[in-house]
Amino acid sequence: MSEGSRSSSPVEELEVKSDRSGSVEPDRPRLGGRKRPRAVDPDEEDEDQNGAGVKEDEEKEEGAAAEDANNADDDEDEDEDEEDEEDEDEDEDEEDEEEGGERQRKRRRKHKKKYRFLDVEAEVDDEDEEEDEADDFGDVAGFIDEVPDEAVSQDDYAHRRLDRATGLNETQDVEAIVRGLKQRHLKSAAAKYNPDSDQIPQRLLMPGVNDPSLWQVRVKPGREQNVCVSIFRKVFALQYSANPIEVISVFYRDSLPGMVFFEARTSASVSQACQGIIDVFVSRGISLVPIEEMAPLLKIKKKDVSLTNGMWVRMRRGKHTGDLAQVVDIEQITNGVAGIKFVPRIDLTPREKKKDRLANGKGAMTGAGSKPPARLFSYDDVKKVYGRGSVRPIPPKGYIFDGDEYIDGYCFKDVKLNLLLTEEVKPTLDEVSRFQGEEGSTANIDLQAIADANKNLNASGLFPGDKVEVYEGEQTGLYGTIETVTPEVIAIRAEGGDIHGQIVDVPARSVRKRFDIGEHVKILAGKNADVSGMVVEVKGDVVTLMSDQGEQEIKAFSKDVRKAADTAGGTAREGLYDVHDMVMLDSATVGVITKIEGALLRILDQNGTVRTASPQQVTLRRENRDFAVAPDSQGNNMRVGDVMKEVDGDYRQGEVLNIFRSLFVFLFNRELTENHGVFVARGSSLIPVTPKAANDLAKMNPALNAQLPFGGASLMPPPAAGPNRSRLINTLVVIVKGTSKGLMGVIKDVVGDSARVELATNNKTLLISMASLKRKDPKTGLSYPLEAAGGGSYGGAVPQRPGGGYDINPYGGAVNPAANGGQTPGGFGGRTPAARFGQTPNPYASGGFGGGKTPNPYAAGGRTPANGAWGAGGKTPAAGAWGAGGKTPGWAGGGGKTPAHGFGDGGKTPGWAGAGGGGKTPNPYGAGMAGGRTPAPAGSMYGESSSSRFGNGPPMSAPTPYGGPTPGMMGAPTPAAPSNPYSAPTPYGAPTPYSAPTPFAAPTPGAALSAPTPGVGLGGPTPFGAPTPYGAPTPYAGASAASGPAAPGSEAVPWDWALDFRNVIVEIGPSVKPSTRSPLHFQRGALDGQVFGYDDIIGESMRCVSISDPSTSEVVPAEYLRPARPTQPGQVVVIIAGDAKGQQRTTSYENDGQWMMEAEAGDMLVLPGESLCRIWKA
Amino acid sequence: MFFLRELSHTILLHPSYFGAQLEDYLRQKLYEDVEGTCSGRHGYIISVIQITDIGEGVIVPGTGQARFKCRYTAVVMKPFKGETVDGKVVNVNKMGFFAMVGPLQVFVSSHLVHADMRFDPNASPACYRSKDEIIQKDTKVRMQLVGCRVEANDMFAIGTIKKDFLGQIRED
Repeated sequence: MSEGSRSSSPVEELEVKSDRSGSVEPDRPRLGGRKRPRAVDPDEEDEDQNGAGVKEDEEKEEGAAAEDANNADDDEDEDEDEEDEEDEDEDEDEEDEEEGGERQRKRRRKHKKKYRFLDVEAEVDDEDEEEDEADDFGDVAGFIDEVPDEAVSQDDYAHRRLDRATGLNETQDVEAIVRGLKQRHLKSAAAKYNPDSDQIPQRLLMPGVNDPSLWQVRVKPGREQNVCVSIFRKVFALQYSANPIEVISVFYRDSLPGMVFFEARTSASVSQACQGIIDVFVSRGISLVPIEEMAPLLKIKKKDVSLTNGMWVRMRRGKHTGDLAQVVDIEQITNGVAGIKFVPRIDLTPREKKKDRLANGKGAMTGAGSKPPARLFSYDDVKKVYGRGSVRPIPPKGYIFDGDEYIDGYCFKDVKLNLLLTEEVKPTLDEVSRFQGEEGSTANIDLQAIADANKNLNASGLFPGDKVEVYEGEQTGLYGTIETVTPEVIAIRAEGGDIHGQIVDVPARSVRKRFDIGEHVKILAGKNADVSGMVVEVKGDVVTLMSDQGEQEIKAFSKDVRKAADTAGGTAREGLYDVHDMVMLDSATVGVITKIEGALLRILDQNGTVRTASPQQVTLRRENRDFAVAPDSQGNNMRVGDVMKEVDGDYRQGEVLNIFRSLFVFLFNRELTENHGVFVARGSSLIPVTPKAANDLAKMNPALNAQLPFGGASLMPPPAAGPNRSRLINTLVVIVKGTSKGLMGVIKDVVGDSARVELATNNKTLLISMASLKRKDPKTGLSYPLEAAGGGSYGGAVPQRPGGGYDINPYGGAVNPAANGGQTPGGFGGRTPAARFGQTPNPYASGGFGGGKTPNPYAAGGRTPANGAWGAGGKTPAAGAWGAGGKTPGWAGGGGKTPAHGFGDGGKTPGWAGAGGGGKTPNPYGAGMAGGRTPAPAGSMYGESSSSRFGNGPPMSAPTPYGGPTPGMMGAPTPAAPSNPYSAPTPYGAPTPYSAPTPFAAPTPGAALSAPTPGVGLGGPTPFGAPTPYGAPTPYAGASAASGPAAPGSEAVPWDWALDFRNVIVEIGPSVKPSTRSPLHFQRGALDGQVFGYDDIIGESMRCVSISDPSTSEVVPAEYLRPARPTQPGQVVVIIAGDAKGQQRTTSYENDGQWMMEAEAGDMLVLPGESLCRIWKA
Repeated sequence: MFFLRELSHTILLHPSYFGAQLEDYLRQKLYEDVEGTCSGRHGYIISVIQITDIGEGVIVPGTGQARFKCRYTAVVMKPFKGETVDGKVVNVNKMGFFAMVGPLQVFVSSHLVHADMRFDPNASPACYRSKDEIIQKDTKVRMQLVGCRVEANDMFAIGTIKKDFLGQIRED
């Protein structure tokens, strides 16, 4: 290349670069033949090694790259012809320009080389000196390398120069040297343009104001090259005409589609050049490129896309737009064409359609409108639709259809490169596997294909410390840990093999991350980003992991996976928030994060609704996991971490994650799929899965316990602000003040202090202050104050106060049982407004008989069945239920069915509360009145009293949730109950008056029952618990697992039964004491199963003498003792539970676990074996 | 693997327990507090063998509770990668099966069972079946742990039966 052509215009030099190789290059001759002096290479390397002084840094940085480039050049040069070589050189030029520094260096080197052919000694003080000083040996080596035959003269030269240098240094003083250096550098910095030089400083090539301007013209995208060629031709054609086109150059850039640039002095020349050329949009303006943008414009470099076989691309146009394709043929890549393979989208709709389309002049396959689905080519299908003639088989197993070639179902096609999207392809695992075949054949996923899919993996996903495997190249199979990462090359410390411990550089693209099975990893990208789990399988590039959060397997590319800390908690963390954290959604709503999806939090709030929120929308709730406590259905405390179970509904079980306001409990069970295993429940509807000892000491402290108002059940009474709205709804009222005075209506809603009253007269709904309302008894027509009405009807024994109904515990001292008892009949009688009671059937009023097993739906405070019942009130055919005996499953604490036999008039009596564990118990009242299946105690009770007390009127159907369930109240009116077995059981077995066996004959068992306040200290277990005949779950359903004393038939024996008896035979077993802190087994089970005679009592323990070995005696706490059941007829037993407790009988015969006692005084008893204990020394 | 470890535990005791039976309370509480718990560091605390030192009670100002620092020796179970364990299958699904090794839950992925073993969803209960082996709920299996995830108070392991001598343990 001549200097002139090179220097004439920087743009000219560049213009061809943009041309694709092989494209037309009209000005090639001007560029001809500058060849890089390759012989210099060794020199270069020496320099790199010995490089000193100022150049050192610069060279180090670039050494590798330069070397690479040179090597590459060399290789290619060998392979390719002359023309290609020229291209190479041009490429190199480009490189030079991009890296100005390097160029400088080369130029300098070339200067130096130049001096080899000049008389160097004549230029002692020239700018070259510093270099000489610095590069002594390099120079020498260069010379030796270059011209070995001149060795002698070189040697001579070197010596002389050395002498001279030393001499100079000696003679000059330091200042002079510095000055000289400065001078020299000044000079070099202001190097002048030397037309004779082969090299021009980059700066001087920069365009200035005096240079021709650059003009940009819009053209049709894709036609840039043709436009350029046309303009070239036009310019050349007119070159020697009268008015030549004053355009110096024209070029386009691949990186800037739709633009062509002209180098010209005036825009007029440009428009002249463009005139008559198609695809040029001169009308869109000829814009001037600012001078400062000219060089950057040319620097913008389209990233070289090197297509390789197996690479994934996407198609850009046509019906396959966006479809994944694989490059299979790159032989014609130089022609801008690549062979690709993809899943075709052949329209298999009927042939007529195709004909229509053909008739319309469209191609068969260019279906406008909808895209046919992508599916593999099937000869049969296509033949069926398009006819045999349309498909031509080509051996061995290909087909030609519609001009395209199909092999193995894939379409193979040569397409232009510009129809392919090669960047940001990012094939997903899904797509790749679909490409590889349908679901069934996932097993044979071509690993290579997937590896290829990740060809684009650069170092971005790699971090020092990652374990990687080299899967291609000469280091294939090498394992190692990444030491350093640069964009293209990573250094890994090899593991194993010959080079163990060495650091090896490998291309970043030829490594993949390696994971061991069992490793705890996290997914960084993709649709499962942020999921962590443990690796269960690694297959090539695909890692299968078992998610920590949900039970699911996830597949991910290994490039998207990172090792996670083993102890990271297995949770994905998004900034502040962690899975299962409790967050505030607003001041009254909290939720627990169930999943973190990228930047979104999925939250389950206290009401059970799922929300999605961004971290900004929520605030982290103060961490209270350590302190949060809530009462469970038994009134025991539960804490975060306890495993609890629902006592109703779905019986879900889970570990407590968090507790909100001691009411809402968030639980987690990984086996639930809903909400990723998180669910919310009321504390009062939960029960521990394992009867767990109350952990907090406060609970065990009797003193503290006594202070707890309601047996600890409601440590935190719910806010009792204002009237209970739901309680008032559907109440029949009369308006006593204001314009509507005298009108009757029904309360439909309560809003603050006002109520919305639906008038009976004209079907209007008015908002009326509650102060102007009075409750109306529909039966009697009497009016009562709105709030006190219920209480009044119950006679002083109101367990319900206005607004305070919730925290009334029937067991609390508030109830005056005696008073209740006395007045109850009245309470139930006609005086009670039906509207008030009709809505809350309380079949369990009878439960009261059982000795304080009254559900107090309000004790729980939160959701109460009453709410529902009230709401449903009017519609509830309470009476019907009673009479017809609708079968209503009641939710007892959890025992199974406990039919108790042989009670009074009852046939089978489902006992309530049996095991307190939460089973279903048929409603004993279903048959109540009918008396067929009479729940003995209750049934008889009702049977007796129904006529007298309940009558048949509506009130009867209206047991109140408030008043009804007080034991005293119920108890009182049953003195006449002939054999009320329920009067006897001691509900809590505690040393209360109850523990004493109460003969059923007690004249007023009710009174007796009502006297104590059994609830206190016992958490108010109500075995008869909440069951409502209508199936509404009640918070109290749980009842106490421990206390089932009311059920004569079951494990009703209190744990401390033994304290009441002497001289019986006992067996040692696990502790039966509920909520005990004692170990489960006495002496760790050493004595379990052994039979002892119970000799004496020592405090709460018994001295027991072994039956088998009378010399052995042990002191055993009562809770480990269980009664020795009768084994055969004729044994003398004592009844330890039930109403006949304390009686001594003799067994007669046994049937199905029930023992018939020998008749005594005209009385025959059948008792379950459980409530019998053999007497030791008869 | 089981280890004997000397551990310590701090107990806060309510003043109402200060009395003759104080030590009993402490012992009981210690048993209750630690037995059956799991710490990521030590593993599952299976049983307290010995209480080395019940500690001196120090009254916590303000609450009146006493703080005892008990030192005790306990049998702990800590799973390790590579360990071979016996367990009982508790749950079988198409992804694999879960087995309990004492308190430790181990998941054996379907990728980590022998290739000839297939999930049979139609069987009742669902099982993994090969010619001579069947793994279903309550089957006893021998597994090798290939990974353990240790959290602050929980552990989880992944096991394999894709090796010799692993898999179903026959009773006979």
